[in-house]
Amino acid sequence: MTPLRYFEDFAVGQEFALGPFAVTADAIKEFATEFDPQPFHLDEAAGAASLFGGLAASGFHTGAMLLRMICDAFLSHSHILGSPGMDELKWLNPVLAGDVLSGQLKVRGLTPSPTRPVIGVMDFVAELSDQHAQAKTTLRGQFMFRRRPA
Amino acid sequence: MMGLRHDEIDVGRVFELGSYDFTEANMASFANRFAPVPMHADEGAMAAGLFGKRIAVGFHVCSAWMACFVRTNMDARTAMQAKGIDMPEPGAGFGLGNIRWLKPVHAGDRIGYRCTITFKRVLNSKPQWSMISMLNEGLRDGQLVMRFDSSMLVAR
Repeated sequence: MTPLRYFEDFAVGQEFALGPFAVTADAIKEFATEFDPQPFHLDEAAGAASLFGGLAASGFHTGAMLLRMICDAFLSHSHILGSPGMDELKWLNPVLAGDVLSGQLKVRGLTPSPTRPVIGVMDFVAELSDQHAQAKTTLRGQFMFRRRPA
Repeated sequence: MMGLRHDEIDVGRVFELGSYDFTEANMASFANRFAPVPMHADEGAMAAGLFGKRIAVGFHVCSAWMACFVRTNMDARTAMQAKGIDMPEPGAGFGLGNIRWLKPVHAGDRIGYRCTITFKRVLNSKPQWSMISMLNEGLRDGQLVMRFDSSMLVAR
């Protein structure tokens, strides 16, 4: 098994491929039932009649799916310690049932925590498009990683 | 929105949205689907992590805000419909900004949510829509655990 990445194992400018990730109608409805039960997230006909033009994933679901893709790309294989927050999650176009999402995450900055010596903070930007290269969502934020023990 | 029309929504107004109970079951369910990393999903690693026990995924804490917002909004619409007044459904959101997870959320926590109207503007290009911006917060026993900004379109 590959050893887990520490903070020191990342580099500014490094890119990770995200996806492909298939968005299913069942997953859209399951998430919406729990967190965003509006008709255009629950029902194909209501989605088609809405601004979205089809059964659309909740924007919160889109953010969660992107997080899952980042986990699969590298977070699950890292000494991840969480996130203090995200600066911006943008919904550029609706994510619809049947879409296949892919994209990349780019490391924008790596800063050791000035107050907690075991932690380093990564600044990143991630973006996803669908199978037709239509941009869907972008996320800018931070992750915290454990620093390699001296 | 909230049973109110654009002209009735004042900047600075606060809406209490009710609460969401975080449990081992719903935290594990969210983590297994969207953040299957040791700190959220693996018992041994959770104990060895920064927090000593399972913490809720940050996006779970945000998504629970949406559950409370949608429920409160639907209840207000239903109440208006009972009076024979049909309110438009809220429209699409643009995204979230300045999300901050300030305190870890654990199983057994009841998080109360609220939103404060921070900005509103009728769209020049589409005067049937207005854009509303909000500060959204989650609190445990009156202490802020999470905040983010959001903007959405609301039919007038």
